[in-house]
Amino acid sequence: MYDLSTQVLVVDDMLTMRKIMMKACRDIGFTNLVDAADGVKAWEILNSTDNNIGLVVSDWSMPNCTGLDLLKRVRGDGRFKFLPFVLITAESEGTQVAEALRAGVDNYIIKPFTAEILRVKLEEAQAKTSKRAA
Amino acid sequence: MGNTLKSGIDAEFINPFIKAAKVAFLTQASTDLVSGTPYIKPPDEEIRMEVAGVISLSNPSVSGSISLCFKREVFLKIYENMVGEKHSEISPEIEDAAGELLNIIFGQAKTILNDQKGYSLERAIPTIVVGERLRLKYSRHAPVILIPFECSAGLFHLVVVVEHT
Repeated sequence: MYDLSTQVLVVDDMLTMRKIMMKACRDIGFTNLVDAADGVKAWEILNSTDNNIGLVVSDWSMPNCTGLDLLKRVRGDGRFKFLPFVLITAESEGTQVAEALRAGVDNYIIKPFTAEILRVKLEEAQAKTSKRAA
Repeated sequence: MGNTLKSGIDAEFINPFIKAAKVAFLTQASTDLVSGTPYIKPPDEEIRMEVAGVISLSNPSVSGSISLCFKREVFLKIYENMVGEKHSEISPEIEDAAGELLNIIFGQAKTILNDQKGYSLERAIPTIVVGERLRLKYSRHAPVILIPFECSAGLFHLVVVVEHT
């Protein structure tokens, strides 16, 4: 399991869902949470020296810069090559999952989800990241 | 396409939304739903609502809309179940929950309809409508199907208006 002091970046344009995601992260035990309302803001946070993000949990559908756009930007930057990145979406179509996997996502959560589902998916993502980094 | 009941309601199209609503509310809002029998809205029946999430459908197979409509007190209780915060009014801070719940329902139902029933519904973004004595106007060409749901917070409706093209 993750070190629970890991700084987690939660990204969603819908405030209610952001609160649900933050609450689920807290229920798992994470204490160091940062949030952003879209991919542009999330990218700023990732690049800020004030932060040391160790895990990104992002919605897919957002204005300006989607979760997939953010993922591609993250994977295109060598500094974040092994940053665990989990996408959350209301969609579960195979083509979208394949697109996210091609872009380098570490795991994929279909809404609705519980804190327990999030915990399991994050553990799977961590295992995948470790494998990539080995 | 479709399994039309005597009532004129296309059960094949409606049932995935009922199933998805039950899963969405139970998982995301810890709220058990009991669905009532879907029926076509009589012209003189108005359902009271103060907040609604609306998704418009427009693609080669169907056109219309899906709406999730709540009375204020029902919405506030469901929001509390979802987020753990108590609010006394529907504010911009919380109104997006109506759209988010509908988004989850639509995403789940869309997968079933596209993968198993041969539809080609596309991703859609919900609009949120808030106001006193809210009334949603629908096309006169398609029946307005009301799906009532009862839960600990009270009664609310999923409204499906769909024309197969």
